[in-house]
Amino acid sequence: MNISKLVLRNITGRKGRFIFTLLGITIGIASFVTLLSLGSSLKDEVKRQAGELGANLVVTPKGWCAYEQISVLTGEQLPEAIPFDEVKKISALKGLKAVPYLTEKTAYKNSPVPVIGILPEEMKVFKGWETGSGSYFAEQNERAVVIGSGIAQQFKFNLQDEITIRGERFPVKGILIETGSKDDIAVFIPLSVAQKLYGVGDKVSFIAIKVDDISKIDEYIQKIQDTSNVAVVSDKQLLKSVLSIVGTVSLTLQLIAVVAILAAAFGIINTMMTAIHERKREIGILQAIGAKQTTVFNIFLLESGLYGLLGGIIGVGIGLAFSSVAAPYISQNEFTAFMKGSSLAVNFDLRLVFGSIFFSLFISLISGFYPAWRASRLTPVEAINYE
Amino acid sequence: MNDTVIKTENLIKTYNTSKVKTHALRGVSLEVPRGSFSCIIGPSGHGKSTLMHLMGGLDRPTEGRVLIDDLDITELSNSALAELRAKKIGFIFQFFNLLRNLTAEENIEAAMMFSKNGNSKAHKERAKELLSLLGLSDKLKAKPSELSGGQQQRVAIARALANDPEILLMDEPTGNLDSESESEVLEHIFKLHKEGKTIVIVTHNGEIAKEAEMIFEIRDGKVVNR
Repeated sequence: MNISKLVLRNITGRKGRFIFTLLGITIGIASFVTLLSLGSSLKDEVKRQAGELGANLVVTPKGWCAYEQISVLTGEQLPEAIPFDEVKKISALKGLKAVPYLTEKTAYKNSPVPVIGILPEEMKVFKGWETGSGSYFAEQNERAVVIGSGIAQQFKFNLQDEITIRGERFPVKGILIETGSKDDIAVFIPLSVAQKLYGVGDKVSFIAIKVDDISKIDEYIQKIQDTSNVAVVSDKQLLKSVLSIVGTVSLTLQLIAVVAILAAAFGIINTMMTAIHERKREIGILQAIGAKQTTVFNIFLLESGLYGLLGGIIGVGIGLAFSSVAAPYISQNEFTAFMKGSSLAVNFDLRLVFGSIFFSLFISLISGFYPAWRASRLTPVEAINYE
Repeated sequence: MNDTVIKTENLIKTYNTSKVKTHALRGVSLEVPRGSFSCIIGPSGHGKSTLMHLMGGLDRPTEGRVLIDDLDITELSNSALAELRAKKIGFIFQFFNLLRNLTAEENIEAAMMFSKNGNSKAHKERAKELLSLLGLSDKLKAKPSELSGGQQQRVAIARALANDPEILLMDEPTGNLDSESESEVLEHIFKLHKEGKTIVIVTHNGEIAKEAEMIFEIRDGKVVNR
């Protein structure tokens, strides 16, 4: 017999209470891990998508806020606001390649599908795309679509199948090789065709730019702004402003998680305080047979610590499993759009795993401190005479 | 060594609640000789159990001293007092007071764990030996809820003997037993006395009192007869 065995017997001797208290801390830690790991995956995904965009600069209409800038990365629908003349002016500048995007949306089998109007040749060079099956656009005004590999898989598209966009039918001419970016889940259509289809005149949503000399990025920004009445943001600035918003989302998620943990902590305090009340006589017996105050304190502290350790381990497991399963089902919005359709790698971060278990243990020990102190302060005779 | 093992000097115990002062003991002085069999008798609520608790260091007096082997235990720290209870005194209570989540042998091992004498293997062997002495060798793994009252009290006796204490303090040890169990338990208690233990029993039981070498009668917190 030793103290840990005694603690184990005390806990398992009250199975109902043990399970419910454990559930409290487990759920708390599971939500903590889920929310934290989703938040951190979100950030990683933003960074990855920014890299996949392949642009050093993004030209947007003046007055766009960070929320709209996020959509540049997510491929969400954006208002058309830059006249094609501006695209021409910018393309004419030396030392850079500019490709316009017109981001629209259609529905296929009741699911929203991004439709992106592009300049076929320029975009192919810009992105280094290759077609996996079928062929790429042969001319700038071709009435056909080329689709991403993800869309092809999701809707089981075959070549020459037709997709209806705004009432008009377009054959699927080619399917791109998987890129790992949002391009995989989009339908591409020549810009001029898209502009007519959506009735947006000659406007585009934004322009992605790749510069020849990355060290002169500020000069390029200045040149573009001098040439055209647009806003220019570098990929780093874009990433920074998007991350700051995502950061706010992460922080909110973390706050919710902390509330869950706090609720669990009070659950432990409540359980331990009730345990002291119920086990007053037992405390008295322990003291009568020679247990010191510090021993009684340690027994109760260990009990709540054990809740934390077990709850932490189970909670981390459930949290990680849940975040991997839940991520793809999260409803689409500006923030979670990053996760949709991409093979989101939930962060199995060891720091998160051990940090959460340690945090759970720490919270439980803190929660158990006061009840343990109360238990140890009982006098033997007061405890043993308790009916 | 002095022939008196427990000595109380002018013990006073007063309980202060918010409105009422209760005088449980009003100056009790007595001496318990080593190896004796003593009974504390008297009407309920007159301070018998309080006296036993003070003698065993489960409580502290408001005034006066308790000496065990000439050591003033009222001066000891809580921790030293716990150590004294672990090594020198065995308690047996009316309601057995076993730890309900532990088996019979674990209850005994727990008492040995606190005295820090020997290792867990030795504790296990001692627990087996004691339970077998008390006729419970087939109940090693039984939880208190699986034992009869008499069996539980015998486990409690085994637990009190775990650290081979010199003094055994018992508060109504047969008060909650049927007559058959009572005689079984009494048999063990008398045997322990013969083996040389100092036994102090708080009791209403005439059978036990008849066997006692010393009887302290307590009324209104005072020893009125000895």
